[in-house]
Amino acid sequence: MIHGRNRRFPRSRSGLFLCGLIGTALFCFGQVHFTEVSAQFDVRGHSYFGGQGVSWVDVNRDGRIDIFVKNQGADGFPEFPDILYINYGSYFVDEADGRGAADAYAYGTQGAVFVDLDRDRDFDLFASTTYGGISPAYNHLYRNNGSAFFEDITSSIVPAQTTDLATCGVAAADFDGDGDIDLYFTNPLPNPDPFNPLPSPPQSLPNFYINNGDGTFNTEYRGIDWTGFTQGATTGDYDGDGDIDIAQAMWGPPSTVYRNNGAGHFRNVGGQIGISVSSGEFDNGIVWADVDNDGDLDLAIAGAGRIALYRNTDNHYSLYRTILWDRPISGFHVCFGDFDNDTDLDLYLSGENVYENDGQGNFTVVPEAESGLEDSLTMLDPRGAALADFDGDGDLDIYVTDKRGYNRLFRNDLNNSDWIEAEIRSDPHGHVGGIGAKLDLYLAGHVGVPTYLKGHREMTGEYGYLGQDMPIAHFGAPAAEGAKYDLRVTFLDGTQRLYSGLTPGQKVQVATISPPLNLRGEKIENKALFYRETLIELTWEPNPLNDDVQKHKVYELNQGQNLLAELPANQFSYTLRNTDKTKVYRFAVTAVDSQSLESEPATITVNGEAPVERSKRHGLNKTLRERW
Amino acid sequence: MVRKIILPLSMAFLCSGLALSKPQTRIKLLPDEERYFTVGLLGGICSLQDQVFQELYGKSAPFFGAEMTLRFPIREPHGMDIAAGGRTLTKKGLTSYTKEDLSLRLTDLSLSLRYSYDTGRFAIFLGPGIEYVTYKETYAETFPIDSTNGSHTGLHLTGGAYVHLTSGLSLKGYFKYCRVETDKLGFRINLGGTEWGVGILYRFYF
Repeated sequence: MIHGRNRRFPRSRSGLFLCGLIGTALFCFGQVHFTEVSAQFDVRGHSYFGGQGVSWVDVNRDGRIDIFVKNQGADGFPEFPDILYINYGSYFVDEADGRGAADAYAYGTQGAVFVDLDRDRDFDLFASTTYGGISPAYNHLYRNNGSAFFEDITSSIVPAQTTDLATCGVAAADFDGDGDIDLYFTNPLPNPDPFNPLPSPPQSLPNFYINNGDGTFNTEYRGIDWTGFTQGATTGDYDGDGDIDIAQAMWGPPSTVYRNNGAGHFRNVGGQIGISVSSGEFDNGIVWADVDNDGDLDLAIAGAGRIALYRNTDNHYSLYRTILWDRPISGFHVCFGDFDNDTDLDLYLSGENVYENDGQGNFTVVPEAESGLEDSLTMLDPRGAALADFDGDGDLDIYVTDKRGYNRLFRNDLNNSDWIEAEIRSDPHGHVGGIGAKLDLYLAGHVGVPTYLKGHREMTGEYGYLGQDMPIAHFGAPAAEGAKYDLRVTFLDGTQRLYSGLTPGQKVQVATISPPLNLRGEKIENKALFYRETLIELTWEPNPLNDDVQKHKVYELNQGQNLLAELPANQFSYTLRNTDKTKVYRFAVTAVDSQSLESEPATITVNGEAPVERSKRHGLNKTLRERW
Repeated sequence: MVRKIILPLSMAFLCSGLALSKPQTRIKLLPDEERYFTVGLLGGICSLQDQVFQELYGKSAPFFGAEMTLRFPIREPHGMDIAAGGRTLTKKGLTSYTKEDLSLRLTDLSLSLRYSYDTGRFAIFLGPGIEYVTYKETYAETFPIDSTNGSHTGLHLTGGAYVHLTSGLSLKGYFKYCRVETDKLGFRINLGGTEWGVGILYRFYF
């Protein structure tokens, strides 16, 4: 662990070096260190410029995390295709064009997000197009076929786009709580003057693509007025009320937070909750993260040469720290990750250094001589960044884009086993990635006790300035003295999963299993000449959200929960013999996956009505008549 | 019930009355004193009326049986028969929904009082009687119970004809309509129906 004094960064670089040297000498226990490997993996970008943002995501579901680089046009190069680097382990290959993900529209892409739009457990793509004087400049949707080949489904946005857009940051989440992923985009109009420092009169323009669940998206206005040029956007549940709020960084008007009313309608609450960034600032990135491990989302806003850190206390924000730096960069993307695996979130600013967290949200810069981030400090126009464990060694690596230089890949050399990762393979609505889910890591046996919280994460899409981390939650989890941990996952619909006794170095696959569908129960008369038997036949259908059902369980609920049978996964009926035809019965059927996770029950009440006569003789399978 | 007994009996007595009232010339094959006792074997087809039976076992079933008849001449060729017989029927079927195996055995004992007109070469008869039916239905191992058994009583009307091959040997053809219904089991079962049979009889005179 690195310790350092938490103070304003000195102007002199030699002074910086000296302080770093002293700090290293005095407190040298296991350092964070990175190695720049962009050349080794050939991920430096097109002609080494144009990079705006980056997403880490496993698009082809091979277990290795791929890189999507969002490229915007640069001087003389208006059309700059995006890059999709497919991870082959020891190297990456740009396959964007061949896979239909190049999105090479005029003046390029700024914001883009990978999210499971159609609940088929792969990552689809929402890519923005920024108007730069060439029409059309429309946003685009691409559907992943499961093997990382993307089909343009932009026509599913209704009504069809007719207005050029200058979209920068985008966001994805289930904003209206109906179980499917919706999309938000900034700057819903062409060519706003980004350098106008004053707010514009509010314009209620449609800037949401609301998912209808049937493959179409309605373009709608949901309460977020356009008041000035907007850069990055992010999502999170800052007030812990179970819905997803939006924050955005802006040029001119204050960066602010929009609170969700639960139904996907938003209201600007920035001033109310203490976000007091002045007008006229040029904020680029905004990010929510729990930097003090108290279970709520604190806020960081980057831009205008500083990072403003806000602490969340009872859903109200107070500015408690401002980080400044010496380099003449504006400051675009702030990302938070536990780079040293010591349970608190450290900070990295694109084109700058890593700042180590003391556990209370106080950050101290790690000199580049120690961190190995010298190359970060030589970036010409650093923009978006994102974190991922691309090499699977349990620590967080960093990819940073440069608009006027080559992109960087910083591999974390920590390489210890003091970590726990959690990947959401399916949430209760069948989405991979689990956007909106909250993950809390506690010391084992102390779930829910605030003092034992070792990390709070909320799964999000694009955040900060055009960055999207890998859709896997990473926690530092020291293994000292045999420590074990419990992980609680809370989905947006309130359901929870608990994983107990996790040992450091473990990756958890979080999956939900949904109950069977269309459970029906019917009393049927089975006749012999001198005996009449009443059967109860239960039938159900498989839930398409499940892909790992191992068996079904059938329960009778009349007196408690009585397990009647465990059936193979491909059996969707069960018959009870010789029941009482006048009695009311209650049954439940659940699905169980390979991890022995059992779904919520589907229940049915079979009334004490006359059993139905039904004959299967001669191929009949219909009701002949009802008796009585 | 009373009506069902009275009507056939009335018909039998009426026929007897007719027989007494009018002497006939007979073709003699049998001895004059045609008081005889027959024993015989029967076989035929039984069609039960019960819809459930038809659904589970089919429309009809074969049976085998035996009969004893005691004939008392009233005034030849008219006479009265008292007949006692039995038949047994077995059939396999399937339950209505689960299609499990069923096995049914019906054993029928009957007692009839019949008017007969015997010309010496052939004879016809008609009359009512009572039925006593016992049943046993056996089920597959997967069925909730092993078997059920019981008995019911009812009435019948029978009629037919004999062809006397020799003085001791006759062929018989007949039909019988039975009415045996019960709802003791909580649902109605109709074990009645029509029976068509043939038989061969041997006659003892006394």
